[in-house]
Amino acid sequence: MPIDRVRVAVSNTGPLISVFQSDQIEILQQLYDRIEIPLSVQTELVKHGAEADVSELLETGFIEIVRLSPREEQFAQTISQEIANSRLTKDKEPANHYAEAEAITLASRAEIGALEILLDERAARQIAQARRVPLIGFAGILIRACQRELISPETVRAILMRCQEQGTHYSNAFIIEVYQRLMKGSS
Amino acid sequence: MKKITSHEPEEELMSVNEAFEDARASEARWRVFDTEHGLKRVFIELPLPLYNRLERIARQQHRSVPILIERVIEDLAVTFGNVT
Repeated sequence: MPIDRVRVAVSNTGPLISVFQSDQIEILQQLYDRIEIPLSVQTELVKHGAEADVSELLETGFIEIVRLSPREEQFAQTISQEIANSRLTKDKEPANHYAEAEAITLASRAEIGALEILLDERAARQIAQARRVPLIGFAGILIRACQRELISPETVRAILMRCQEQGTHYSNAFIIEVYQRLMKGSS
Repeated sequence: MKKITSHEPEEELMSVNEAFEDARASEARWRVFDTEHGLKRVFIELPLPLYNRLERIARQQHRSVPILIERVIEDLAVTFGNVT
């Protein structure tokens, strides 16, 4: 496949954690050819217990780890400070937002050819949008997969519930409304 | 079930409207991408044993299954293109 028509996205930690928690890597592989992640996202994934999943995907080339240049690292420091300053986050420590800042920085690098960044946390999304970095969250990925008839509304609901059971902050109301709107759309 | 802990469970996630808007905007972006690159995406279903075999081959070649399948289809098209 010529490099210029490979469907590339950059991902932050959260969406990949949800993918691994729900065993739904196939959905991601139907929508993208390659996912680029910065080193700090890989570190977080390993910390969360996803080392085996990441290793497997690194082996197939579906996930690639990209190192930031010193200049980009500086830029990421600025972004992590901006995320920490956002009223949408309770965590005011910039270091705790560095991985998403690195992911936003990487998505801004033109040579990567990423069309979007996979990003869930509201504060980081706000900063990415302010910098005109196109984004999609895990729920959006599921909705898109459902609208493309790759999965059913019932599967979307089951996946979100599985992530919720494992601690991801999806409310029951959120899951029900997503399901109902997808059902309405498919009827 | 896998033991993978959640990431920043205390952080606020998007609303339902934002999730649907994400999906709409993303689909629009990839449609433009497909048009610009002259692509037509196909969805195929494979029996699991076959998929698993392809996955093993793809891994040996450091490729993903979709890229491996595209290569095979390209070769087939060349072969059949020469025959007809």
